[in-house]
Amino acid sequence: MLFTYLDKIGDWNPQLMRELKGRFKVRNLSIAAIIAVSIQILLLLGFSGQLPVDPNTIEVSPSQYSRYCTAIPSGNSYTPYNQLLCIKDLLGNWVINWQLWWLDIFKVLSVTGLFILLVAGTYLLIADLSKEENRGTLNFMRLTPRSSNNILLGKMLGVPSIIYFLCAILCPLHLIAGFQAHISPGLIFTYYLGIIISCAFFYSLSLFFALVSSRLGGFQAFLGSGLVLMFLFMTTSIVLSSHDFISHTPLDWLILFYPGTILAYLVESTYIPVQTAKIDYETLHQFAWYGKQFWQNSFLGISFIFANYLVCIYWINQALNRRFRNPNSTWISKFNSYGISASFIIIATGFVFQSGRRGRFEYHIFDNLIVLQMFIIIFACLLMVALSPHRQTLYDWARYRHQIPKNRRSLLRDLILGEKSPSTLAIALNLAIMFAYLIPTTLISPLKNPLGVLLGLFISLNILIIYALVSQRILLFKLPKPTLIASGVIAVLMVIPPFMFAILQLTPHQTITPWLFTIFSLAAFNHHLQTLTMISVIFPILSQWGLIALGSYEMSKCLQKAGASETKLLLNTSSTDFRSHQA
Amino acid sequence: MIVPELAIATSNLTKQFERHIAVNKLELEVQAGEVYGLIGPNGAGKTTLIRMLAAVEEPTTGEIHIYGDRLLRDNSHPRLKQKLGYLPDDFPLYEDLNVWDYLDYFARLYHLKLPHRRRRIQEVLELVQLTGKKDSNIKTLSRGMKQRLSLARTILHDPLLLLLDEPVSGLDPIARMQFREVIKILQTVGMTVLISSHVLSDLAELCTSVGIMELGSLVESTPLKELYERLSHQQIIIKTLGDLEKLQQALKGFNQVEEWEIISHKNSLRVNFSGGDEESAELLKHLIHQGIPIVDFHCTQEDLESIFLNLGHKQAS
Repeated sequence: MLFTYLDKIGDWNPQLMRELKGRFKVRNLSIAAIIAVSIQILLLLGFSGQLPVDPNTIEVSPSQYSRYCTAIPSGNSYTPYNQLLCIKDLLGNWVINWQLWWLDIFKVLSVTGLFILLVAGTYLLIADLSKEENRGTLNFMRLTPRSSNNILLGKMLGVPSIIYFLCAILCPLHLIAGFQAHISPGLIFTYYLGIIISCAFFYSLSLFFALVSSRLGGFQAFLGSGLVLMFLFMTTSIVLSSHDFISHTPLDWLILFYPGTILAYLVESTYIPVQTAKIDYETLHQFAWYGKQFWQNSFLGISFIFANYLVCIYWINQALNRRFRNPNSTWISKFNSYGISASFIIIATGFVFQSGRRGRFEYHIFDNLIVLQMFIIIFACLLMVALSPHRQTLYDWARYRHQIPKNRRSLLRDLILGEKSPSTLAIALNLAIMFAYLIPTTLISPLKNPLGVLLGLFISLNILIIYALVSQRILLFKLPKPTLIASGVIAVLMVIPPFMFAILQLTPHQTITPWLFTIFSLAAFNHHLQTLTMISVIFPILSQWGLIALGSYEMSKCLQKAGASETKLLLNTSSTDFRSHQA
Repeated sequence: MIVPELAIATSNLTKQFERHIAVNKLELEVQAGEVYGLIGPNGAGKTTLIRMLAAVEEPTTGEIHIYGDRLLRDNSHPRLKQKLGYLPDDFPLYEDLNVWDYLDYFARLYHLKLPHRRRRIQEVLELVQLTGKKDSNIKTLSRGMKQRLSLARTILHDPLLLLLDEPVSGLDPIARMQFREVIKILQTVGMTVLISSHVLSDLAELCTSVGIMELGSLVESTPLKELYERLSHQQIIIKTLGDLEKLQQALKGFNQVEEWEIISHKNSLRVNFSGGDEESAELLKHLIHQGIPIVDFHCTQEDLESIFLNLGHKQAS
């Protein structure tokens, strides 16, 4: 029976079966079981230690305090912070708030499980895939008729299987704690669903990371899981241990990628007040997307979190499949990039429109737009990396483009959709899509000077196009680590000018013009919306366009030279030789 | 127009690395059922060509057709992949699995179902003579066994076309012989094999056609028989117990004898001979009449290695 079942799994997904066979060894399983049981014992012992003890058994002070007791201490006595006085009932038993005790165990177990699943799982997946890629065995999988989805799903389910086993052993105590804390069972299972979806997100991302960073060697697994660990540390400390964790800026988007955010609804369902439960679920209610407070309702709020994950998983999987099939291709296709840009701007802009806690609403929206601009800059930089083909591809494109029948029709079409063409026009188009979406959104939003804001955004997008040109041009040079150098140069170009202006004390308050040549141009408009003149805006825009035209011309010259045939080059060289000889 | 019975047909196939053209406008045609040997000096582009045919490498330009279907790297063409078997020169393996599990894993990847799967794994294990090692860990196998296991993995799904890149490099003579035997069996079951090797004696024994590559181009692509007819000279090895000088004097009077070379330590001559069987019988009669004590007189043909070297290429092995 078991054999037939395993055989069926193997037929459906051989990769999963291979991973399970390689990992489900008695030794590995025992280690995982010992770790899981130890975690539970330590946790229960730790929490039991916080309960009051009987004075008869050991010597303790007459009045004991604990977070799980129920009596309010009298005003004149010294009370440890956030603790209550322990009292006994008429039968002599301690009166304990067991619901809170179990809730705390539930929370700690949830977070522990998340850390184990996401950090260890990410590490294992990146290490495994990069090992296979470097050893060359991944090529054999590529050559089989199985779809890349089937193989990668097998990896996701199989490689961290020991981690899944460990978490499965943690599950019974987690469930008991949840039920004892009176959390709604439906919400507990929704939380589990959330964890599964978040695993799909982080695991797809780590597989993609493993495929695009194979040059980093053994370091990449540490780097990838380290980044996940850092993200989890930050978000856990924001969501679980601070009041008022919503900042009402687009930065709150990041909170939605943390599966622990769902815990707030679970805690809310226990009816334990915020001050006691220490998860500020009330603040989540004020969170808004396009002004709609979806998170007031647990169903809508959790659905939004899931939808957000699913959109990202979809795009990551597109890129993942592409890179798996062809490791030399760009990260994403130009066609997909337009969809990604549209999804990004639609989701991100929604977080701009939030009710601010302090100050006037229109100022808050303007500040949020500046944060959105930062998001756009980071996104555009990622696009440059993801879309720009490298030297060899560009050389091949320039040399053989005319021989590929479908490219003969139109250069423009090839630049917008082609696989190997330079990326600059596609990046410009992506930025245009984002800007096009921001035009109506900004115009109808309650801003003082929406036109000024649009102008600021427009200038920064122009500068991003210049950076895209620079980065693509750098990738055409013969360099040892072109992506790293291009990223370095772009980072310097972004940071140095504002830094210099700051040193020279040319703050946006005083002089606006230099700031119109940086990507942070929107900040300059904050203080000069009324005093702006036509000339002061048109001059920077025209000069930027001039730079773009010049850069494009230089690039096309360079590509033309790269695309010249050997015969032509030979003839050119010999004619030059001939001329110099004559001279 | 692509003729369907061609196992491989490439048109204008080019691969360029920087300014270096590894494969240059290559037009290769391999008939179904052939064993096609690819020879050429190091850096001639053989490995690049095989990698492109296996869809591991993307051509810069040009097309590849396998049994009439266009081979593309990006889309996962399951039907076409089922027809291809590729064995690279470094044959990486999973060292944590045993032989049976390794083959079982790949059989499943190629959609082989029970009970056919079990039968097929047994068949290929018998073919590569690894039946006794089916429960052994791959780590414990010798290089020759690993090579044969890789071949077993390559032919597991019964591909129509087998691409083997330097399959015998680094193997001892016995392992090489075993490998040759397997290829011969595969040929009898109708598999088309494209094989690149530096060991030309092996290719001479296996191939029905050869292609010679140099600087990315295919300078020769022809059936082996035709190549021999065209470029190989008939030779006669003559060994005497007497004086070599006398033998050489006797040969001078014979028209069909073109030139000879002395095989010094054997007291014999290798004679390039343009005549047929009757003329060589005549020559033998003539030498005996001259009273030369002949102990060995046999006809032979110039081997592939000599032909290749005579073509003036840079390197044969």
